[in-house]
Amino acid sequence: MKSMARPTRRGLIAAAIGIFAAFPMASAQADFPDKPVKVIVPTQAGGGMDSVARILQRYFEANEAVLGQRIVVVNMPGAGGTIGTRAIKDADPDGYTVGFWHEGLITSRAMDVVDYDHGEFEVLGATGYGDLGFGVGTSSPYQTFEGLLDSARANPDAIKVATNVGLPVHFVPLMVQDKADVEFRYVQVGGGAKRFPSVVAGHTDFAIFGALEFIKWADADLKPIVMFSEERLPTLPDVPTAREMGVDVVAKANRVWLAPKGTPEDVSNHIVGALRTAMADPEVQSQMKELGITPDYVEPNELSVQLDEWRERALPLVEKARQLQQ
Amino acid sequence: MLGELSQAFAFIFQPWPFFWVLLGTALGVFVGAVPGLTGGMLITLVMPLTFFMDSTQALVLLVAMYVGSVSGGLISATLLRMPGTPSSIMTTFDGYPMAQRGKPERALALGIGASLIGGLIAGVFLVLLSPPLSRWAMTFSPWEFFTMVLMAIVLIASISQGSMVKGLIAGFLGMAFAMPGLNESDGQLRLTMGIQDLSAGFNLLPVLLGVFVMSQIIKEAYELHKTPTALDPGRGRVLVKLAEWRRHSVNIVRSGVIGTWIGILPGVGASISSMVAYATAKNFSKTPEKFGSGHDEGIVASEAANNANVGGALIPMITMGIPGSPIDAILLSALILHNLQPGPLLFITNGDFVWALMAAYFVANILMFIIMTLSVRTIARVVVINKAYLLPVIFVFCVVGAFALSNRMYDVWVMIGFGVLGFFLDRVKVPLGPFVIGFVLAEIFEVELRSSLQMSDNGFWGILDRPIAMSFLAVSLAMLVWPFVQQRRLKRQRQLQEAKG
Repeated sequence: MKSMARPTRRGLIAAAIGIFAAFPMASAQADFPDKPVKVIVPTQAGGGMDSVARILQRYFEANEAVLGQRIVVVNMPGAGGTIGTRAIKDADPDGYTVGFWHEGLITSRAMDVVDYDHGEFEVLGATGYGDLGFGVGTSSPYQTFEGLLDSARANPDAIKVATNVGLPVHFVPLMVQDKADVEFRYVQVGGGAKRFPSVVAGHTDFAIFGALEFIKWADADLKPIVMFSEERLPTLPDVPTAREMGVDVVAKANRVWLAPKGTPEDVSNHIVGALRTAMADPEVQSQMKELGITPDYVEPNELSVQLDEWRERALPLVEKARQLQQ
Repeated sequence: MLGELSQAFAFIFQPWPFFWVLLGTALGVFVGAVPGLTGGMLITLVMPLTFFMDSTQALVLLVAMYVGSVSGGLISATLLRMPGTPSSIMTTFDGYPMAQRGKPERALALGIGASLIGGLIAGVFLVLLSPPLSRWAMTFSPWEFFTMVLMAIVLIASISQGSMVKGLIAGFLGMAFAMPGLNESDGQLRLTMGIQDLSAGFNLLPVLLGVFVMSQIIKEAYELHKTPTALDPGRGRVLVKLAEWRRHSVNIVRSGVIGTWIGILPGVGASISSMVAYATAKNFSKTPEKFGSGHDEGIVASEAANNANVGGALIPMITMGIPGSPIDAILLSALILHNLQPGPLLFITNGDFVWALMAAYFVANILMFIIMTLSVRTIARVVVINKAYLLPVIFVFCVVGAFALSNRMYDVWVMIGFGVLGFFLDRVKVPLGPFVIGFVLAEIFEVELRSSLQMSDNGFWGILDRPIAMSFLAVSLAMLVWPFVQQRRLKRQRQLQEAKG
């Protein structure tokens, strides 16, 4: 794995100043943006990812001064998001085409579906993140995380986890397996709306869900037993974190904003500034919370560190992930 | 149940939902009446336009189109001797002769009335069967879904229109085209040949647009010089006395139940329903010799069954996410596009939506009756429309619809490619229905089988723990073997007769 040196923020600013000093008003980039910015969303219209884009679209339309232009949301679903992320990567690096995705960017690379990950983009920070956890049916024999791990230790390769192969929901249980020294049996089931009935009906024993799904399906017999957040969530105060239970796995689904590699620094800084301002807006924050997203803006350098960590943890698990070929 | 249903009716009678049902039914009737334009075409074309509609209203519109289009076909079947939609083929046999004998009003009225009653019969089954079926299907593991899809595939092969071999070819071709792309079960790319665009495979919507719409555009353009001449629909009232309906009650209920049942069977469309109902009516009739010469019973059986098929086919679609007919495969993709997860849980997660769909089905049937009774003469004048004006517009809608799905030109090329493929398949009489069903079922089939195997400690033997799955498997095997058994028996009988003779 070639490791790429991540520019520090100070470095970025220095570079930006350097460019400015060398070419004062050299290009039209100083006027960025002078036309609407296209935002590629690698899912269909209407889903959770798409809603994030629509919230920001409304915000930038109501507060024109922040970005200086409207954004246009373009949905490009398919192949685990790789149709969309590839379109972002291959776009002209002029700042007029950006987009966002989540950690699937890294797992798709790990699974060899694509030959790029976040290193091949300019990372523009994250507009919040979703917290993930394990859920079981209320009538499941595994009502605690500890109980689940004990059983898994006693019966390796017997406890069934509903998953969506090759995506973060597949890699997080793999990480837990690695840290807690247990072995689960992986069953391809699909997206959250399919994992939910599979777990509740008892065809599989547990699965990963987002915080919002736990709240939405609480009345329909879905029970969270552990969350992979740094601290307990205010919305799910009774659910312990994996760290508390001695399993050091923290996994979030960041809304990672990406621009094609080579986008000028001042342009990407302008977008970063606009996103940061938008995420500080109380209206945007409350709308994001409704989607189960913690509405903190994650700065590009901090996010890059997180994504690098994800890559380092995911790559050793690839062999195991690809075993699911039955 | 009654509470939910009455709430759903209250929803449908609000201005906007009612407008969509009315619009959908009217458009469906019109498109169904024009030979060469089918309901599948209309629904596929309109689906991309509903992206930004509320999901319930969108599906209500599409279901109304489904009901309307199956009914509209009888107008051209009666007056032109050309089925407006494939499902009214059987209506041509008696509707046209009756119209020719100077009783076009009566032929039309019989067809329209039978459509309504057949549709309502199926509606009752839809409401009564769906909730318990979905509760039952909740207990289904991947094994049950896998064996059920297997059953559907065998069924397509054994009662496909015309030649069984051609039905099989179509089904397997459809399955083959579902293979390329990112494979859900192991997260790996398959058969993409290094073409990055192919990593999402062939999307369902462009394939449907190609197979159902584009291929028809090519076909129609090819045959543009043929202008059909229609019989005069007459001046009398398009209504049949209630007393007469009483005389047909046995036939109509029987045909309605046949239509519903065949509709429930996955993968079999409305044309098979009307064929079976027609043949059954003829078998039971006191005057079988009159069939084919403008007989009441023939029209009634055919039209009651094809409308009942619509309601029946909705049952597996909403309770299990398995398409009961090719058009339901399109509705299924509409559900997915609107972020509704088809499957037994739909009743729980989106109960209001499901009930609204059923209410819309009833209302669409009644509106269909009113629209057709009042405006059959107007429609009869437009069915001979010069399609040179229509085809370019439809083509534009096709391109826009394919592109809008994921903002890629790739999908447009896929649509055109499958249009050409569909055109040639149609020319060599390979049916397109099984092709689409095969394309849709292949993915479910593979995912459910592989999930089953991933879950099972014993590989294929894991199925032994699942009695329901085992019985589905047994039915599939029986259906596969039955034609051969029957053939042998016939052969032996013949030999016996020869020996006697």
